Amino acid sequence: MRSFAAHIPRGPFLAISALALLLAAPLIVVLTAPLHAPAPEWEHVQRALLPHHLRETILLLFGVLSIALVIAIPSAWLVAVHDFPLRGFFRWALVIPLALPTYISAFTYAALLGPTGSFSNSLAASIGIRPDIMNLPGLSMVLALVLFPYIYLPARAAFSRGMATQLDAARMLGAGAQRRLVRVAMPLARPAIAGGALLLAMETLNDFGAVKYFGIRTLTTGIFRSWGGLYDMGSALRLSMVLLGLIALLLWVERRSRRGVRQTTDQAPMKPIPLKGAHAWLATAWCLLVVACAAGLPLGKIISDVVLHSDGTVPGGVLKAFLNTLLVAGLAASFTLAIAVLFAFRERYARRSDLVIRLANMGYAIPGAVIAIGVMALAGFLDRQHIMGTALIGSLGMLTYAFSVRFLAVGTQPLYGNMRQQSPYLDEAARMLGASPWRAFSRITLPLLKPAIGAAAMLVAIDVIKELPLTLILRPFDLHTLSTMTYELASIEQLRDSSWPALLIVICGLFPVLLLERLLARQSR
Amino acid sequence: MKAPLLSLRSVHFAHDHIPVVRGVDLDLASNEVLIIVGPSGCGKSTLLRLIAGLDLPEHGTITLENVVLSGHGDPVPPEERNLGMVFQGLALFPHLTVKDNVGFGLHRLPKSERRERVEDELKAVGLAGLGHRFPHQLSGGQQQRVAIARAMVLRPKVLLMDEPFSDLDAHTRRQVRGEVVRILREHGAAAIIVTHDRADALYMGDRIAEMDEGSIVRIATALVMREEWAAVIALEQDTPLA
Repeated sequence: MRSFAAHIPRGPFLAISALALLLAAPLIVVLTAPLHAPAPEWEHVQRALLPHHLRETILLLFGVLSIALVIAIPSAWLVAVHDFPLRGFFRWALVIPLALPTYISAFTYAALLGPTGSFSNSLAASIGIRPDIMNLPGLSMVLALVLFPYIYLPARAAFSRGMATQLDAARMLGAGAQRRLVRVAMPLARPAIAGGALLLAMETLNDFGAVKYFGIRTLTTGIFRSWGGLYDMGSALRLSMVLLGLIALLLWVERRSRRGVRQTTDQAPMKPIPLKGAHAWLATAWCLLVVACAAGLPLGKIISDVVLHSDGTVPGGVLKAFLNTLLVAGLAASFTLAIAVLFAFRERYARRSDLVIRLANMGYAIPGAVIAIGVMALAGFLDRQHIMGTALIGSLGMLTYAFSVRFLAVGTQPLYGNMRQQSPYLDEAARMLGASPWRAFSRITLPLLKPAIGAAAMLVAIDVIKELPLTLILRPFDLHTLSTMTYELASIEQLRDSSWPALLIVICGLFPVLLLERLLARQSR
Repeated sequence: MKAPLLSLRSVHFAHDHIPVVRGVDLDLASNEVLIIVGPSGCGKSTLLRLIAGLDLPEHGTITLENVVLSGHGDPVPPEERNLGMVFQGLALFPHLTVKDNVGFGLHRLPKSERRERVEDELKAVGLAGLGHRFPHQLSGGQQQRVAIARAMVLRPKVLLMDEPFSDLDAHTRRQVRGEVVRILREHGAAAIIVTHDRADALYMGDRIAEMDEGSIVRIATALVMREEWAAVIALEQDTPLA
């Protein structure tokens, strides 16, 4: 609804654009690094670091994507198209891994199947074989097990709705299940699968805790190494540029994969085809294996550590970290949503979209480490100018700002989506009754947005609770959150002690995941 | 008396405990075109899906040339019934070309034979030379012919058509239904066609079955029906009675 744009003073829009510029600043700092940030170690980084880190990043991406596709597509196909024992349970259980931060899964898998892991020790004692997953293929498997729902969910949605008649037609033409999947369902679901694969790739590129723990050299760990090891912010910024280039390439590939795709407009829901006998039990066994490996093992390990190796009380440090986490998440969610509401106002009334607004909304696609380095460079510059009168680096305010940069899209998108469902006539009626644009927005649109604002705030808070690399770089000195505590305890091999904060993070993460699953289930009916 | 090609006995189907098809008995002879007419929601399309095997009846039997498709023991899956189906909305595969759509069901044949069969079928439906196009590059009538060719190329014993002309304008509709009859006659195929249009029914059918609330309330030859419906059709077409 933009018909009133001509009657709105430009002042508020300009102020919102200035705010957007502030949020886009870290990204601009990274993209313009060669112009303002000297990099004394860049030659060394280019020669000794970049080739290995780039190579292992690409290998990891390829490995995670391949394994995730092998896990996600058959699972989505079975749950969407067939009926078999426990299908209803698997429908949501296959989404649970989304609640597990990758680093927690990686720590637990390492504790089980690392060179000194409990499973590895048992196997070595019983059959003389000692498995070790602390390598690139092992990490690919662990990340794929956690991240495959990014592909499973859109693929399941595409298989469930949008191609039922085409699949019936294929059956009538004699095609068996495999042929229907490969020749009809997968090509038709390609855009959905590609979109999910893109998200999965971005999460892989964003990962720090798991890759660092497994000793894999990715661009993200390279950024940390340049900044924390070589003390060269300029090189860290340049590595961030390489990482952004890789993300741009992935976005291009994903967009290209949509080219020429013909989709159906059929909205009939899929009627599941019952599987019988061995086929039914095989389907159940496959889904059970996926759920057990992706969620059961890590969760089981964390819970057993909490139950078996503690006296039942939450350690004091954990409680403090929990309170710190609540404080940081609460601040970040409030600040982000306040900005999101202003952006929503602009979206509602502005005549056209703005480049800085779009840039400000890109944070979710950019790895936390890149944003953190951009924020550090910016804060360092401001601190040197003594503009703010107090040090920004290491302040809670800077951390909150960085979270807003990273998770703004998580706050704005639910609001935009909700506004699109609201009738534009409501505002128009308010305006015709003499309300100013802001009054119409605050008295009519905003109250209707309340549920979306609540949901968005919760999503931002939970993302903040799980976030690791950005928090590690920008947190105030001596401030521990659940994620940093889990990571630090695990990295000094105190895995059992890390189980309490890990469990609390998982419990927080489960809320939005189960909410999302309920929402999707309702939509597919 | 010659045994029917396809036969339904006491076929019953409910959706969420609400009966949709109630005890239907039906016979279809070889080369016969049977039309099912009736108001929306009367169970016509569901009956077709039961015959196709896309839904399974709760009671009753469906047999094709004395082979039980559904009723006793495990039902024969749709892909093994040797029935062709043209879906409402056509259900063409949008990512495949016309010739790949038509050849989809022939994947077990050698490549050269498959190509020959597809070309012959496209020629038969008047689409020779359009095999490389995608469905969205064709007109509504041409898409209709692709759907028919795709079903007929497998030489099904019975062709099932669900509201095949619902998306076509009046002119194309008349043209395509004429071609459907010609193609069916040329292939010597039997067909069950679901429609709500009486003119289509009279034009194409040997016999016409009227369905209401899940039951077949009447079956008669097209000739008998023509006399009964004459007044109604005239009113529908807004033309004076002869």
